[in-house]
Amino acid sequence: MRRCRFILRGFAVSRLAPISCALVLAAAGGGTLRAQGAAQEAKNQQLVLNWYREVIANGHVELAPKYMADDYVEHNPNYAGGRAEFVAHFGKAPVKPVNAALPKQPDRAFAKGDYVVLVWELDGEDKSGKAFKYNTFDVVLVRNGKIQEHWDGEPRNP
Amino acid sequence: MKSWKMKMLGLVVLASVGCLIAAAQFKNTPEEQKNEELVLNLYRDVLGYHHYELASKYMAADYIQHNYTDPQGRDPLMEHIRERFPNPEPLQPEMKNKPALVITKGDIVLMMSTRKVKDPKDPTKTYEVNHFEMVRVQNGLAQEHWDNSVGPAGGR
Repeated sequence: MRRCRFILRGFAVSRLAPISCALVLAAAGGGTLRAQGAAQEAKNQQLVLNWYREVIANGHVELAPKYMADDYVEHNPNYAGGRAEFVAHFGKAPVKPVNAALPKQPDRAFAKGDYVVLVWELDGEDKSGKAFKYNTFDVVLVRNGKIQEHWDGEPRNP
Repeated sequence: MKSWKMKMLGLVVLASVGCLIAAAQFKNTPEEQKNEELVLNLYRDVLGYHHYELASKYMAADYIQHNYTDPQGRDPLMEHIRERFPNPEPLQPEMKNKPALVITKGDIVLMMSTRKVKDPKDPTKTYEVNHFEMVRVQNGLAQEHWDNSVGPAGGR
């Protein structure tokens, strides 16, 4: 007990006191910030899934400004450019009820920092007619609660 | 004067540690960092410079393959790649084709590489296309693999 008090007194008067305090505060804050980071990641992932369902799969391009930044950047070579090019492309698709379920959920979705990743498993058929599975990927950058940039692996349509 | 200095020192330390933590909230955990390095080193040494003798250092023997054209298991995959690239190149600290983006979440490491390819409509022009590689790490070894080289994006 006496030893403990001695250590505490030494700690308080030490020149290192401000540093120690800062470290203790930072360590406590670190856990909170990590939790906030996880909450933000979950929010970003939900934003991307809602955007994918409402705007892309169900064709409600009028909701594009709700989800996507004014200076959105699209990397898919078939409709590369900004939000206008994106809206022009997906505006051609038939419109379904806004909350209609996705015909297929992503096989894996995860968020890390500002990025959200969707992984899809799809059915293909090779030249001999044999069925096989293949994967596609979507990477979405979210900034300030809006979708900022999108990449996928699609080649340019011939 | 002395207490003013100490207060300033405290503030500076608090601010800099605070910044580190703030930046760290989206950074890899130590486990994620290990997983990411393992996968990047596997792609560098084994798949990039073709040092197949290092495969067991990075990959589980029962490696699960989702690419339809590649075989299951580590050793059959190594034989498959060796047929195309029989000659190892000297190991380098840098990857041959460094991914443009690496995202590691838990046991999953995703790499995106961007390359220029010929425009099918105008062969004098090029455009950028993305390739994805995804690996799941288990017990410190690459255990499972997905990519997008089969399907509509295939044949590149």
